[in-house]
Amino acid sequence: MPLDQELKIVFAGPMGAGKTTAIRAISDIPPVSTEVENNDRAACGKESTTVALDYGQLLLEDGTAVRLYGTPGQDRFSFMWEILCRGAMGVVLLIDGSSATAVADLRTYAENFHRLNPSQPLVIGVGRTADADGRQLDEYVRVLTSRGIVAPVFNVDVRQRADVLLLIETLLCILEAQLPEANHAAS
Amino acid sequence: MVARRIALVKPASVVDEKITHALQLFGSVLWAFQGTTRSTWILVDPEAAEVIVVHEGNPDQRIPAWRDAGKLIVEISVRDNPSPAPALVYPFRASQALALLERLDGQLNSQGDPQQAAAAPSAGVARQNPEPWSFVETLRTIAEVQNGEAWLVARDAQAPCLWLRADGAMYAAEQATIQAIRRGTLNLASLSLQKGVRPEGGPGSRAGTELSWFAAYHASASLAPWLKPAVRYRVTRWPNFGLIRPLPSHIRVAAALASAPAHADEVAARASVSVEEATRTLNALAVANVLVAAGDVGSPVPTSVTTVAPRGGFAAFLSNVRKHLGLGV
Repeated sequence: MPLDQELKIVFAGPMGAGKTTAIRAISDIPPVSTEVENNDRAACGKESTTVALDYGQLLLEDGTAVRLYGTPGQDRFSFMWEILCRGAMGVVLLIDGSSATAVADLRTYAENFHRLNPSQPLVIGVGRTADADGRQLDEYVRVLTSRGIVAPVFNVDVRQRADVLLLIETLLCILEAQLPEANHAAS
Repeated sequence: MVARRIALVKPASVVDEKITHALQLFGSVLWAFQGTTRSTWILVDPEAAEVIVVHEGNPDQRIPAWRDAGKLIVEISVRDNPSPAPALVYPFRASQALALLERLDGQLNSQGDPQQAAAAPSAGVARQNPEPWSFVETLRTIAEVQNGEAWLVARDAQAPCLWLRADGAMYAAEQATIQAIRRGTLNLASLSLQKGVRPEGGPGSRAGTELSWFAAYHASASLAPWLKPAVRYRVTRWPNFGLIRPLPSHIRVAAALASAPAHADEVAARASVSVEEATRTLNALAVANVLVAAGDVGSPVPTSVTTVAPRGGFAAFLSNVRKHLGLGV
């Protein structure tokens, strides 16, 4: 099946933000990850990283498959974002809140995905914050608002399945709100 | 006799022998006084436990997840300045440990299902309150004052039960109190708020936005005094649901209001919730400062998603996805 004909959710974000972990938390199959040794330790300290994409899947009881794609984190693979996002139900953007480039990453990724498809549901999860009162995220919201992007920005820990599900549920609700035909799916 | 499941979490490495002794002593009390408490306390693994006993300052990263899952976390302190109740301070007497067990038993009885983190209102204490908005108004006021240095302590008839930073951005309470706030079973409007100090080594701090959200949500089934029934409102930015841990219906209402302005009746229809649920969520969104009257700012540009149409239509598809993932419906 062509990529743009699939039912899919895209997990995006910079290297080390937790895309692989998030997919692993909800996928019905062990995620297929094309990970290799990370030779860009200056950008991110983790040992291995995804060079092409991660793939997971939800197989619904009626046989429908929902594909879960994790985009590669490195900038040089940004051409893949457009390919993967075409026809997607939405994008879950993950940001590492402890990174010195967190705000810049947010700006880059959110602007890019918003430009590719302004109507595509976008949900943002920020991990590794030392932000018990949520004020770090207020700055993130200001950055998005100043660019005309209204998207949910939540503190999350993608190692917790419940947090990944919160992002997915929010994405589904946005989709529902934008698709009149989908209304009452939750009732 | 009710069986209660309790776990003792020993430190991964011995940092202070007193901690080991304290947990051993607690375990011994459980064993020696079996059959003398109202409920039977059975030692189990933490994942299966309703109550988990740890030493104060235990860095185990599973503890926040257990707490979020509704388990009661009891800290035993070996320090001179201990946590507030229900922590035990080592060395403690057996009678103190037994009193703690009975108190925990009472909390579990009043909690019902401890896994349920929040609940839609049913009988609701707030409905019987003549001034349902007094606590919420206090939160709104202190948020404007922005004094992040001081702490306030809220007391019920007997004792301090909630600590609130004076800018409203953080609060602290024992797990049972947090559950009661989220369920709306604690009558916040009846609490007296005074200047106090943050409990040293006490319960961990949580985001004040969670407190204000559920305080507003449970305050009244009617629209808050500062909202107008005839006005259409919309969400200009999303609340931080990662900190609030909302009910699924809250997310649906927020999404509906982010896509187009509405008043309570309209958003109820769009989000497939009751008008009361929509009204309560509007109140919570207003207190979270994310709600504006539609005329105050430009309306959002209507958008339509261009995504692949699932076989059988979106309604059935989204329902199947939720069912598959066990998402709250």
